[in-house]
Amino acid sequence: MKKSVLVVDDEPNIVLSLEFLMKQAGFDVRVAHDGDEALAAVKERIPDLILLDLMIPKRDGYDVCQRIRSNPDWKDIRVIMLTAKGREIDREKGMALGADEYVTKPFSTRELTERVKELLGAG
Amino acid sequence: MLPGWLIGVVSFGYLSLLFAVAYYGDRRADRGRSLIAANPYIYTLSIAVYCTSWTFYGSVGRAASTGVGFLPIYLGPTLMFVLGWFVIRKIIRISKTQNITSIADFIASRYGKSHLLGGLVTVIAVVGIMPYISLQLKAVNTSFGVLAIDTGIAQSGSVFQDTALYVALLMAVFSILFGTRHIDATEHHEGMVVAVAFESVVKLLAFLAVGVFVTFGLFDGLGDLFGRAAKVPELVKLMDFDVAGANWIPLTFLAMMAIILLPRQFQVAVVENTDERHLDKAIWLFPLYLLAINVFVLPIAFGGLLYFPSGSVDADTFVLALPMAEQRPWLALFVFIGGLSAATGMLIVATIALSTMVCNDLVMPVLLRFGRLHLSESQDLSGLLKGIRRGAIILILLLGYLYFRLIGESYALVTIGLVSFAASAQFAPAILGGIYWKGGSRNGAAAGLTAGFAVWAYTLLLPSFARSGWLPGSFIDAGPLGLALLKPYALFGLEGLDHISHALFWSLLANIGAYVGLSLFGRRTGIERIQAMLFVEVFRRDEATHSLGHWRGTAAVRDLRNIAARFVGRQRADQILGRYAASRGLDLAKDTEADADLVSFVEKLLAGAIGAASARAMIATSVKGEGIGIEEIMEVLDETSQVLEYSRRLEQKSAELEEATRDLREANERLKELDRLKDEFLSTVTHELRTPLTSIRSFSEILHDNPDMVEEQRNEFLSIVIRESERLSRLINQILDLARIESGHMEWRLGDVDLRQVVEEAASSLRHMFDDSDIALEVSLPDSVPIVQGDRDQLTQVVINLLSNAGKFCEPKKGRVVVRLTTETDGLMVKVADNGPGIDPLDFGTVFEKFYQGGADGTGNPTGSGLGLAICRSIVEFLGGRIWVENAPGQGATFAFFIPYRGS
Amino acid sequence: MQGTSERMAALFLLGALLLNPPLLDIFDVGPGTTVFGIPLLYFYIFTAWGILIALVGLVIRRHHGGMEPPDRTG
Repeated sequence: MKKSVLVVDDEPNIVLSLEFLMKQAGFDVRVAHDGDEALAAVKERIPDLILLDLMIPKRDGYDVCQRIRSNPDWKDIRVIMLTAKGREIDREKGMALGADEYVTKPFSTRELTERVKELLGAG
Repeated sequence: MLPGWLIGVVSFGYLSLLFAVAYYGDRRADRGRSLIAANPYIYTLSIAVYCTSWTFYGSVGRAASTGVGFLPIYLGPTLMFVLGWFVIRKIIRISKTQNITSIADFIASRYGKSHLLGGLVTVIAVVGIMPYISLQLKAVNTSFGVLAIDTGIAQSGSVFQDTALYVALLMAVFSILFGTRHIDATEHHEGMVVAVAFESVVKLLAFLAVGVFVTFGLFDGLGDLFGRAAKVPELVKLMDFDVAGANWIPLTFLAMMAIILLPRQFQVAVVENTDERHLDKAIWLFPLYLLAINVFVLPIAFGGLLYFPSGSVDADTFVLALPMAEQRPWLALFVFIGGLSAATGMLIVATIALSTMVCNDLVMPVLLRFGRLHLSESQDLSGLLKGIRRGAIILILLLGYLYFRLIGESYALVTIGLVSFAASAQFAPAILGGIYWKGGSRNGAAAGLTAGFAVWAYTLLLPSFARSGWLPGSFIDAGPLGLALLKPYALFGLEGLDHISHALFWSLLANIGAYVGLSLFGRRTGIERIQAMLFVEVFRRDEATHSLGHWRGTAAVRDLRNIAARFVGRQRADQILGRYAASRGLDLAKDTEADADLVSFVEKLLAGAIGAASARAMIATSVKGEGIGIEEIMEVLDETSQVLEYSRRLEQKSAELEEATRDLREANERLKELDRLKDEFLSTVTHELRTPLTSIRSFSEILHDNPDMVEEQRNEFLSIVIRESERLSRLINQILDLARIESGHMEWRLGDVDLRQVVEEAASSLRHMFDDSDIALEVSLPDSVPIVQGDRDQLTQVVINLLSNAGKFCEPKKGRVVVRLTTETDGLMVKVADNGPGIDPLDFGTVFEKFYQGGADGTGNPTGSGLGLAICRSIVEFLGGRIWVENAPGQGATFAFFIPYRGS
Repeated sequence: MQGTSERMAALFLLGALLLNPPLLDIFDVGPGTTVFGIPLLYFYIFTAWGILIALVGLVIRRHHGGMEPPDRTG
């Protein structure tokens, strides 16, 4: 059973690159362009991991993460925050909200792929 | 004969004992276990300070010349104390409720808290009591001389050998030590009172001792004494009443007034009184004391007259001379100490009482009025007050000493004392009238006091100068300038009275006449009326209205606290206010506005420190909207104009300060806002830069790691990299431009610009883009336009930006963009209209903000950075123009900018 | 209190009468008459004085003993 990854970002090019990377890594990939879309996608089918951009419209990434973490049904979803916000407090806030990982853009594709594999490999 | 040094040592020892007693009394009071508080006996004994060295020496002297003629001085007080059930009690009650600190304060307060009256009374008191002070010094001097005749010391030759001077200085020290420790009359001068009570015991014992000695030692009892006297014709004459009777009634009356109106008597009987019930004991106990101390006067007088050949020994000194003659030096020494007691008691209380008046009612009001107080320095003024009082003590004693040196020799003790009595009797109409007659007015009291004092001075004080040679003797004998009707001892031909009675008659006539006359025919102010009522009806106030506050305004608790602290010290103020709050169940920390009760309380507290009139002035400055009526306000304003002026200036300054603080705070807010905006900008820029970077990196890595990628996909990814690189570099340029413009580092190339050409160029450079998207681009230009001043390249940039925005927001194939250049009166206008979605009117302003991305949810536009319009605005505004956006009639947005001919 | 006030006032008048000229003149009979060896005048004055004091003291004692309210005098 393939693991599924939900890619959430409003930049089409980034979505494209992440999609490629995840597919190449052997995961099932779905896409959402904003916060509401993201939550809807999670409700529809629970992904194993979410690559979550923070600066997205409608509902920002923090909010989405909080929602996910506050729902017991979704507690097993891994969340990797992907964002251009690189300040220490942003990272702390992200981790405090329950993210499994906080990655700043631009990121290394290799490292990201490996981290995803790690998080999903165990499960 | 006793060696002078021995007398000196014993005296000094006694005075040290006195210091110790006073110190003990003060210590007990400080620790809250006051000796006075529960003890009516000490109160009574302190009142006995009335018996000064005049009693000690002068009574015998007077008895030796007039028989019972000395008695009225003591019968008067007896009668007054019986009346005291009503009168003294009322005065005490009033003084407690109004926190009166002295007799001057009492009068000033009664007549509308008038500084004028307070000062006047103080002057009268000081001038009037000076003779009495000198009397005490004279008595000490003379008695010392009797005891130490052999050494030749204490004949008032050189000043430095003058015992009187030393006594005066010692008394100054004592008074300063025990009279000026605190500045708050609710704390009484406990030490002083205890010391004075102690002295009263000593002098009584001493007098009784010598009395017993003479009666039963020198003679065989009273019967023997009087029997032998009866055999001497001169002495028989003495036993006749007529000798004394001439001025019996006037003297009795005079003494009745003096027992409460002498400043020192007022001090101990009224101000220092801690419990009204003590008065009940004193009413009969004090007359008993008087009886006791006078029992042996006649025996001693007759004994002395019998013992010494007539005229050889001054009768005033019988009490010393008799024991000395009988080789009982130690008894004489004891008697001397008794006399010293009597003298020092008077000196201490009188100087403390007078110095309080000088400070509160003379100096302070003058300082307040002439603004030299520098009230702006919120330092503790209690130090200043203490200093003034101490200075006054020293000054008063020195003045008394001076009077003694210059005048004192030519008078018998008794006469000097009566002169002072007559002076203090001048207070009678103002005070007695004041507590029983509401009609008494300030002007009446002032006139009465002035008139009475003037007559007194003329009929008693000036003649004393003449008698001592400081004025020509003809002044007395023939009247000034020979006007017989104005003879000081026989004014308007009134003869047959002794000097005292004569003076008393005329001075009181003038006094009462002026007082009643001006009161009846003058107006009273609101404050006077209020005070009159408070005084006269002091017993009729019920508990409910016991708050005699008639402040109708409010004051901040904080302000009141500060004012109180200024005059009694912060610690004391907090202490007292705390007790007040506790007793009323208030929480002064929470309440910020003081009610009328609290204001009154603080006013009274202040009155204890600086007198009623000044207290009112101070409180008035802090109570807002206070008033008892317009009239009354004018009164208060008039007298406290200085204070109000000062307080107004202070208010002004504090208002300015507040404004400055407000401005500062606003500036601070703005700075913080700007800071925040800067942070926001930076964070947005970071994000905007990182986004294309991310794409570039990601795709580059993907391309690198997947060499076997399908060619199509490979090309697609590559072109993304290229596009994002372009985007990135464009963004960077825009940011740099913006930063340059805004920080003023932009290199503008200003010159003549043909806007027509600019528009054409811009349009043609974008034609490509429009053709690609199949959007129609229409350019409408007039044939020629005037030149404008500007930067050609930047203006081109602006038009390009607007055009490319318009193009981006149009639908492909259906889109239509029109750019129009028009000539206006003072400049050129360019409009770029599209038929895209248009812009929400709400956003018309924000559209030009940095990073504003078009579109409702900002899903955007990978090629838009949101900085284009911001740059346009910067450029246009720099060139002195305007840029804005309108909505076209049929949807779509129209961006427009205007460049004036004149330029920036 | 009323009672005490009246009594006090009465005592004052009494004292004023007893200890002042009109009455005093009566006792002015010279050294001849003596009581316990003391001339009458002197004896009289001091005795009257003492009695006055004693009476005042008595009135006060009765005032306090009667537990009358301490306030309200005219």
